[in-house]
Amino acid sequence: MSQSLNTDKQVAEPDHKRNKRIVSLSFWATVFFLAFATIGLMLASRPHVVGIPHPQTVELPRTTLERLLSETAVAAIQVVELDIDSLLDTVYGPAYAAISEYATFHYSVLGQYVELTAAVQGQMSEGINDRIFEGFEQRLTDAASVLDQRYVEAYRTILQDQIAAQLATDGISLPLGEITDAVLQDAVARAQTTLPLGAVAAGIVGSGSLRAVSAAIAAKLATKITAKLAASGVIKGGTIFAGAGGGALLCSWSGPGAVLCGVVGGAAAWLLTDAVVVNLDEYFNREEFESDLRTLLDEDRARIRGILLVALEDKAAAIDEQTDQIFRLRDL
Amino acid sequence: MIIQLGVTLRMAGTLMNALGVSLVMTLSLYLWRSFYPATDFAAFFLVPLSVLVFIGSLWAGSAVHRASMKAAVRGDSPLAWLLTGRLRAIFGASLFIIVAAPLLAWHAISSTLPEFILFGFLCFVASMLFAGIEKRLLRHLTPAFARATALTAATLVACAIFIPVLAWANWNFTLQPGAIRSASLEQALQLGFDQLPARRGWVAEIMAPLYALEYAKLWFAVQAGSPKWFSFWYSIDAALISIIAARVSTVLMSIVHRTRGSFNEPKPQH
Repeated sequence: MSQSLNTDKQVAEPDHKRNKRIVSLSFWATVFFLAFATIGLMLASRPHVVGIPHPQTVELPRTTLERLLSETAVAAIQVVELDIDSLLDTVYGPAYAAISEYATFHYSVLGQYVELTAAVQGQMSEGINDRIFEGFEQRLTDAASVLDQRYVEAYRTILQDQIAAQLATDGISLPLGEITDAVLQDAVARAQTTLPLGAVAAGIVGSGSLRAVSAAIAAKLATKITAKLAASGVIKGGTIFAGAGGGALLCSWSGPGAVLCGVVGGAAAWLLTDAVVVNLDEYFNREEFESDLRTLLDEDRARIRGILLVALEDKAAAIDEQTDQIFRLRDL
Repeated sequence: MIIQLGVTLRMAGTLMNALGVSLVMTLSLYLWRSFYPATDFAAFFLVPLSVLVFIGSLWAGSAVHRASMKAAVRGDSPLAWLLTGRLRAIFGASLFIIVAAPLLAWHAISSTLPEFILFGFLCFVASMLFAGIEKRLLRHLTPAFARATALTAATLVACAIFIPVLAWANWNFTLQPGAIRSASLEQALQLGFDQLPARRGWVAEIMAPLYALEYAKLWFAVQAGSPKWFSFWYSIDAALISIIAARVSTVLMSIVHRTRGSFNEPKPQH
């Protein structure tokens, strides 16, 4: 038994030693491979190696950096200002498209009574909100976020171009130093976090300004409905009696059924009158009605555009104020 | 004279091995860091390091666990063939490399040049400490336990030296993004995610939680504001990577260094 164990040990030990030697050789082979790879990388990518700064670097003067960052913040606004209109098109497009549909509803007998009921219940704004501004708030928030991202992208691109141009002007071919690099990275990070436009859009939505637009449309509608009711009331005065009398006359042979026929005739005359008045109103006023709604949307769109532009300017100013604030923990 | 020459050669060998360990660590991480912005294949440069560390951990672990199991399991047990300590050693080595590799990789891409240099020095010192401690322990312990104890002791001593140094360097010299001062926690996490390459990919998925955690800690340290020294805990936390680095260095040293009487070079039997 003991002899067997010794034999096993004698077999195992050379195996173990051989494994050790293989691993040791692998270790040194790895050292040489990594050393050659590093030297190759340094030769291939000189003077700048990605990641670790090259020992010979250049730090841009603080005044130059501040000037470049200031110019970048303003230039980025000029770039994205052109995008505001196209983004607002996506926000307001469905609302503009809904105007025609809403006008068709408004100039129908059913629409007239739905609006009248809503007006009596004081819920006209909600109805308009549902029919014209459905999904508007989400679209506005999304558009503001996209605008914010485009501002950050424009800021990043312009900053890179500005730095490259500055280095070319100064005749510098060295990579940027650690501090300059950190300031630039921080500036881009600030562009992302400072006064995000998504928050501005949330503020617009939260302030209920959309309800104000709906209320303005509702007020306009209330005036029209009142005028329409007055006009149809004058006409109905005669036609209902004529309709009821005509119905009773037609059914006079049926005895007591003549009363029912009179009621039906009166109701038919009522609705017929409504249809005539609504169609006449549509013929004469629909174009103006739609135009009025478009004007209201135009005004609101211009107001939102102004808010977004001011928000961008505030953001740029805030970024500009904070550009040189990279810090070390000891500075807290 | 001959003895003195032998001692000198042995010392030179130890220095060379420690330098080799330091090179494997720093060059692997340097190459990974250099290629990572361009491609996920940068992880290839971490493979040899990971394999070597796994083997080193496995050898050290299996030797100790084998000895323990030999003392614990009866020779006639039907499970004796299974309870050799090898499974536990494999599990331990795997777990260590799964934790260590991402942490080292993340540290490499997020550290500054001075921190990286200090890191290389830490690897060298930890390796030297291991060689010295193992040599002394072999006078008192069996090779398996001398190695395991030396690995732990060298790691602890290296950490005791370097954690304060790295924390001090981080607190005094590492530039932090100013944006974190005015950011909300959500924005701070976003700042962390913004450090990831735009291409994303599987490596970024591994790095993302580490960045998020780091920026959340930084945000907390900055928001707390006062007292001033409070932010030092963040620097100490950042320096805790020394534990992993020291352990990996000692494990690497254990597979390449030959101490008389250790596994690698058993004492001649007389």
